[in-house]
Amino acid sequence: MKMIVYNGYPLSVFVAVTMHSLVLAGLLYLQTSRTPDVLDIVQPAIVKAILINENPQLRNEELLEQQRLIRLDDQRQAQAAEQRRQQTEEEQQRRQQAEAQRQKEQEREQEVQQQEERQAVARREQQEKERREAQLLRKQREEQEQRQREEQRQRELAAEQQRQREAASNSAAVEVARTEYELVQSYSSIVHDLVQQNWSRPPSARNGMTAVFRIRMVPTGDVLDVAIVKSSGDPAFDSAAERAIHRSGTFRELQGMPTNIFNENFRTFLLTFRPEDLLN
Amino acid sequence: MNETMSVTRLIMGASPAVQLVMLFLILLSVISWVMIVQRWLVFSAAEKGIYSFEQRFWSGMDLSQLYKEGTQLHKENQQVVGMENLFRAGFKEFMRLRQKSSMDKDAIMDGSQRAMRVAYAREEEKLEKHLAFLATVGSVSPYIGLLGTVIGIMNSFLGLANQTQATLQVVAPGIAEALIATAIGLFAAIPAVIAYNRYAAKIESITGTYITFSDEFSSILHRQLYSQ
Repeated sequence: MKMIVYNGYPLSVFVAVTMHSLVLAGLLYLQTSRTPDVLDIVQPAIVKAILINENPQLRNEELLEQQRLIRLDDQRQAQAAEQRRQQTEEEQQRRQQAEAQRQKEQEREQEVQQQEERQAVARREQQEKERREAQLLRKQREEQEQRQREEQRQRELAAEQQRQREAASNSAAVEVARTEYELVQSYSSIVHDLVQQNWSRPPSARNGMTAVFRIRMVPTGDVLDVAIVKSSGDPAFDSAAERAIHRSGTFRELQGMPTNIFNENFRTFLLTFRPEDLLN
Repeated sequence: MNETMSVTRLIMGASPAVQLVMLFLILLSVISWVMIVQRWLVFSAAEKGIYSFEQRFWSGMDLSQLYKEGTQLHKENQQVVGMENLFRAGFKEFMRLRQKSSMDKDAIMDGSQRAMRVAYAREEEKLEKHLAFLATVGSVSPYIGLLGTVIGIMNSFLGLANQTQATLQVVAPGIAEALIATAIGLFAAIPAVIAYNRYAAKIESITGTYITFSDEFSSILHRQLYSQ
């Protein structure tokens, strides 16, 4: 038969190869056209579980800030009271002076009346003198006022300087606190990483669960004891978290920490376990 | 990890052992399809040959005339298939033995029948060629695919051992990648098994026709021999 040249091998090879490439092409086409809408469901983004701990350093800072604000407020109030008191005092002084003046004048007037007849000639002189005295008095009063103003300005200046000095010292404290805060952050992230590596979550773990543990540590990095502060409600989850802390065992990385920072932040600290990447 | 997950990407990212298994299976699939198509051509040619030859044979044509036509075809380098070969072998032997006067009639019949049996065996051999290969592909390629899957799953679990968190995302790509090997194995095996069964039945029917024809032909020869 003419149809089967060389027993039909060339034709069959051709047919088989084309069939396979067709199937492959069809599969590829289906994949590429279907991938976009399937993708979102099939491939949820993996988020590493995050351990969140309550940072004592941050809390301390907040407290300090609050105290500082309160102190500042007190100071300002005291200053205002002082000023008010000084003002009233001055007022009183001035009033007294004015009173004395008036009395003197009255006396003088009486004298003048008595002496009017006697010293009619001397009246003009007297008047002159009076005028001079009044002038002097005015000058005196003006001087006093100026002095007062000067004093006020100086006091304000002093207060301003005081405030500036305070602000400077505050910003320095903030600077120190920030570096300390960073140090604490880096150390606590080390602790987090270690605990997280040793943390294998039970299948009953759910996304909303939170377990808080209080850990007591000594400067060598040894964990003294672990106490549960807030249970997640799932005993398996709690024990898994506790096991993670115990398995992390000694935090050798914390040994080089300055003692004061350790005492403030890591002698006892809270560690919160919260799975956030679970699918269910 | 957030890249597109597709079969092609999985195949490209598979471990070398699994990729080797996949390649081997695809090769097997291609070869088995070559066999399937080639066998299909051979069988359809044989069936067509049976049909056309039977028509000519029973048309009342002179047998020596039929034999000469076949010789003519042979000279033109065209293939003579199936049933005609049977006829030619039997008739050739019959004519050759009859020209020798010393031969008795039974010996002539025996010789002619033997020649036809040999031709039949040859034809059957031609038909059954490659069928064993199809049977092998059909039965073995699922196992090969399974081997690839086992290797792939083994690798993915080894990877899982190094993870702290046993999430589904860690294991899933490895298992999916491994399962592709089984899929390809089945893809190769199913057509091969179907073709093997189908072709085995076809061979049965074609060889049955051949046997019937050779019986009929020998009875014609017998009649010719003894009617003289």
